[in-house]
Amino acid sequence: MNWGRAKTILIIMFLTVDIFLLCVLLQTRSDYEQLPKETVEKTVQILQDKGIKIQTETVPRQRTKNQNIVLKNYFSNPAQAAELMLGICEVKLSDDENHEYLFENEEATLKVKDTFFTYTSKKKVMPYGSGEKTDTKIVQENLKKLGFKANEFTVLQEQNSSGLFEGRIIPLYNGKKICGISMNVKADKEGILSLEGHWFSSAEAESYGNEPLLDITAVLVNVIYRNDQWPKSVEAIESCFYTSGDYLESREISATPIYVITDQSGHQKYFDARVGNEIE
Amino acid sequence: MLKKYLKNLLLFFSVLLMFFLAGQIWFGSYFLPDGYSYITSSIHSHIINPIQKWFDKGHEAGFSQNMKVLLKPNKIVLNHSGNRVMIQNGHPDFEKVRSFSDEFIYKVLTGEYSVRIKETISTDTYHSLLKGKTIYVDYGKDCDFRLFSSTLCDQSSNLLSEDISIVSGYIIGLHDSVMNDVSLYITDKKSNTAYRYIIEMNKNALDAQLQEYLAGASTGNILSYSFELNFHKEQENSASKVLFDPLILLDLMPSEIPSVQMLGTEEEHRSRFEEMTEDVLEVFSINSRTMRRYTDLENARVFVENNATLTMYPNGRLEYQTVQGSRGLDISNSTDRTNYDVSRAMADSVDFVAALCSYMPETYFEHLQISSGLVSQTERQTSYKLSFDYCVNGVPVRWQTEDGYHAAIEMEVTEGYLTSYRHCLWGYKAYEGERQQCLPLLTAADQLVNTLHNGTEPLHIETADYCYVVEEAGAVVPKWYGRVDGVERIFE
Repeated sequence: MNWGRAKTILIIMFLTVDIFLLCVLLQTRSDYEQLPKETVEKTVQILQDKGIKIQTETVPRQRTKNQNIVLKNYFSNPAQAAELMLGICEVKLSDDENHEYLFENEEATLKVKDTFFTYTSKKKVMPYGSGEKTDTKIVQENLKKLGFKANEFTVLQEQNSSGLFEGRIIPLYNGKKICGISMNVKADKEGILSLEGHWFSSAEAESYGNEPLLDITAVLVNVIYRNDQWPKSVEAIESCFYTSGDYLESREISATPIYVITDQSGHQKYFDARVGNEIE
Repeated sequence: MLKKYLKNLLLFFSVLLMFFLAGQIWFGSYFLPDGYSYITSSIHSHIINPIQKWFDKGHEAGFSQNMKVLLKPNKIVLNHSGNRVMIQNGHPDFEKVRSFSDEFIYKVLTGEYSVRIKETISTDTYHSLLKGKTIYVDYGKDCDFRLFSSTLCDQSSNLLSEDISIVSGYIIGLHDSVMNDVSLYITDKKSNTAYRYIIEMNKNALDAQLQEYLAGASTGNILSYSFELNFHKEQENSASKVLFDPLILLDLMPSEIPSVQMLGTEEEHRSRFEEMTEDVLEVFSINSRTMRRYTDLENARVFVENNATLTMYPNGRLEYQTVQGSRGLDISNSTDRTNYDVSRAMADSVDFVAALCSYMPETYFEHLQISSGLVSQTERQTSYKLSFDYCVNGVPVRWQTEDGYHAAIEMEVTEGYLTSYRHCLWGYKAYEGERQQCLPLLTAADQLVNTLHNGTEPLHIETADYCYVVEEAGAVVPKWYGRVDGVERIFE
């Protein structure tokens, strides 16, 4: 018996089987990570039949992981936060009992009450001229200088108000927005003038890989049973995280996965991605 | 040669890769959506857990077994020929004497020892018995007789049930008569009637046993009942400022009890607390994945549910509180809520506490003792406040907080629903080498009079025992605790 030839045949056979199995595995994974196109189309059809305007492209097909994001309060240790934001500074007030603090240097002041913070710059205001477009990049650059990591925040609702940039900053985790936490920013064309609100940084993700989230199609189908006839049209659907505003005075909180549906007028509603309920 | 090796290697790896890929497809497939955890959880639930149950003789043994651990006598007083000894849990002979007295009452309750004569006796006679050859078993709290009987002999009704409703202890009497019989004395606390049951049994064997225990347990201190010193009633010629219950034992000399310290370090406790979080949440049916959980600025972890809040404090305390108007956590073993009496409340509570303690070191549950009274105050009572003490050598450890002194576990159950629960999970142990002095009760009572006496009516000390108090700063000091004019107090 020619063992050399037999081995060659076996190698070819096994490699063929391996390639086949790899294809099956990749296909299975892909099916698991993405919603079937037919399901999305059928869902869109049902909604359209009920008079809700929606495009197939609006529905994200990518399935999201079931995980909680543990968030740590940026201002639970005010001295540490002040060092990050102001650098060397003077402690003007440090009342541990009432959790009230005031830090100051030549450039700015930082006030912390419980975990609500107010950062105020002492720089001269340089407003945008009429017709001049506000620049988000300036805000992003300056936030980085204040110690906020670029991939952990995004700027929303920016507007020009009397020559000043005004907007809302919310945290991100792996590119996904964390709703319920925000800080308001005011900036001129040179830098940040004021910043206030609550801020949390993501510490870790608790994954529940064995329990998939509800598909967005299931949430969308439920929308047709609403009594308030909302929405007339679905403009955008986003997969995000959410934490309740009730717990912002805490040292550590967790954010859970949600779907955010935006209607034609920009109005948003949050839906728990685990059970499909609307979050009031 | 090299080509041959390469072929072998390639063949080996291609076979290996095939198995790996097949495994990935199989375990991540439609058939096994949970992957490997499906197999491990199946093995656990169908094979390991049933086998474990066979060998587990711990505190998951059922209500009656758990009650035997949780309802022990507060003290057993042996009296024979002018010699008197008080034995408490932790004493080397306690378990021996307790099982001896348990066996006696078990045989009476189950009818193994037949009752020859039953008669009622006066309270004074009941008290005077304690000067003779007796074993006085004192539970230190009122207990529903059906519950008491279920605990001791697994029968809620028996020969004594028609006489006794509420019991707090009993006396085994070996009177000095020539008759070879033994008497069981029990006072029904509801009607305040004392009963004597003359039991047919060999007195001599019991007498020899009692003498043997006394010989080994003598402490040297002379103990007197308050009725022997006439401290239980007002004197004719002088007004008393304080009166003691007749059965309170008074030691006129200062005594010493071992010092108590926390079991392990605070850090160890914290990490164990951290480890058991998931299990605690499961016991309280709280979803650990909820967004409504947070760590507050004092580092307490809070889990908010629609109907309740569970808070785990960094100092080892656990608090569960339902919101107003909510029924609370269903801990009942039955769906029928009618006639929810103290026995059912206790059964549900003990099962719940045992379930929670099964996630803690085994010794913790063994240190627990029921400290609240086990009686229904009214016929229609459906809500019960129950408490369990963590005891070191039979002496309870109480925790001092801003709002008073607390037992290790305090819970409220309404018709099978847990409405509030407070539990200190830290354990303590005694250091025999280090002893702390305790003031005599009479000295402590003097100080109590200085604080509470209003100048007219005398204070009535109904119960009095030692306890350890964990002060807010963390120090553990011995003090007296008891019921004074119906109110639980700690005094020194």
